[in-house]
Amino acid sequence: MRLFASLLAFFLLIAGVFLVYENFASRIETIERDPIYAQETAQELLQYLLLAAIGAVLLLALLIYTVLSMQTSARRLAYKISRDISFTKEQFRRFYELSPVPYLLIDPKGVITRPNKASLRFFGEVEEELRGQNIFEYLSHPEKPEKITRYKDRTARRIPVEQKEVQVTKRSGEVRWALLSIENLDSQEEGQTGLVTVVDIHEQKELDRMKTEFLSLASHQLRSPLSNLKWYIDFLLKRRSSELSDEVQGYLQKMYRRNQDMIELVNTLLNLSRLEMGRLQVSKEQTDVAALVDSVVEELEPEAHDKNIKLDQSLTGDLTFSTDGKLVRIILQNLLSNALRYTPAGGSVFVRGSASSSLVRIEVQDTGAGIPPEEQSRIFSKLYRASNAKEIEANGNGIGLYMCKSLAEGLGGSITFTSKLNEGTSFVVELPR
Amino acid sequence: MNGKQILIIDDDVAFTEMLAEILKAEGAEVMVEHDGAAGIEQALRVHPDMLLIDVMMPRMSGISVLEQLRGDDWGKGVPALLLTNMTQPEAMAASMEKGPPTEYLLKTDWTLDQISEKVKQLLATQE
Repeated sequence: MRLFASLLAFFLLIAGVFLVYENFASRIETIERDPIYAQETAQELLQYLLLAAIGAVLLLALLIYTVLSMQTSARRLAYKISRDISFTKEQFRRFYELSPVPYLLIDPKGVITRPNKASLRFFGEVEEELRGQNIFEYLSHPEKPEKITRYKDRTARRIPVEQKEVQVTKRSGEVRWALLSIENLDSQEEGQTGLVTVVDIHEQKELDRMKTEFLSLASHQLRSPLSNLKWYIDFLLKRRSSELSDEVQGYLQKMYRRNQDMIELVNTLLNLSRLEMGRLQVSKEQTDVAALVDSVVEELEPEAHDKNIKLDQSLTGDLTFSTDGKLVRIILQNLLSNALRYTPAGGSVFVRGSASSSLVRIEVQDTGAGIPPEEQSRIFSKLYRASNAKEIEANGNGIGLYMCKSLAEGLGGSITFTSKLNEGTSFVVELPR
Repeated sequence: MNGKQILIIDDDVAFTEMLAEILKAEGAEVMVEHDGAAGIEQALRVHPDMLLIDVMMPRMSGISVLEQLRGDDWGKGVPALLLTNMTQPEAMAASMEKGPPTEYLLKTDWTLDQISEKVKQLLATQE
């Protein structure tokens, strides 16, 4: 603003000078004709010159003032910026020191120059001890020690290390699992080229290990007696039938079937546990779902035959796609055995498979008892069994449909149903290709 | 299965008796050991045509037994059936690492006759 004012004044001055000149230039002629006017003219000229001088001085003063004040603003701004930077640096220093996450600054060789408080706690060292040590001396990997060498090498070559699982040995000797990251810092300072972040994941790793161990142990403990029973009963029926009366054989067959139910239950429970614990592994590969349906139907044929239920299937379209066959099989087994269980003798169960370009659709339809309308909204909940289901079959775990829904959703698909009391139910599973 | 030698290494006495009876009825010569170390010794001495190994045994796991046998020149290629009730993925992984003619069976899924069939099948592929 001030600059503008100065410039304006300057131009006015120029304009003024010009006008004065014009004024006097025309007078010169008159003076040449009549010298008397010369003194008058000279006096007037002097007045104008005085005014001009004053104007020039004022203008100069204004200009100097403007320049000076701009300098002061600039200096004040620079001062403010430098104070802001110091303040921000101070903030960051505090963030760094007080962060609950262990941070360490290292040089390309891995020598620690600046550990924060959390890292001191994590390594169990005091600052004087930790500074100057090489961080890689504290790290190890139980199965693949070469990994640590690799990370050391990467750090020397200023290549970042991203979220790698390592073991850290604290001063106390305790070894804990941690997640290691090493970031590059564009720093001029020698000992501060790498920012190391160490996150303690020991609890999670331990929990994980315990879950796996538990599932292995539980499955073994639960299944052992069941497999033994299965063999004893089967052996008696197949290899000692001549020694057994029909009545005894009848009971043995019942025992075999009940035992099979238990085996199925254990399988379901284990799958459910794995699902709940997040241990369920979905491994997708090209699966011929038509063949899967064939296989499950074949498996349940004897049961359908025993109950005099017509079990049929119709499969159309390309039912081969990328999915986890193991899990699809579980869904099919559950839906089909449910259908058989809740359909009376003389009824029928139909499996329909179809495909579109984006979906594969499998429908399991039965002419069974149906699901009462007021209970339909809860049919997929854990441990829920419809009232009429309990009447038909006292034994049932109520987990099957919950599992089917979880698995279908785990595969990226969905499961829905329609049902009419005493007419039948139709479950539809849709899975994306 | 005529004349084939099968070694069963399993601490479950009743199971081994029943399975032995079934396999013998098919013409096989069946040897039974109830302990991992004894099983290894027997296997290296006799060089049977097929191994059936239970995974969960008290003193030595079936996996260690197989590992040791696979380290042997003869043992490298002998077909082996690992029997277990362990949850699938872990068991699968364990068996897969033990060399190609190794398969694993989930005990609750197989009847004795089905196991016998599987043995027959594996032996046939070795011809």
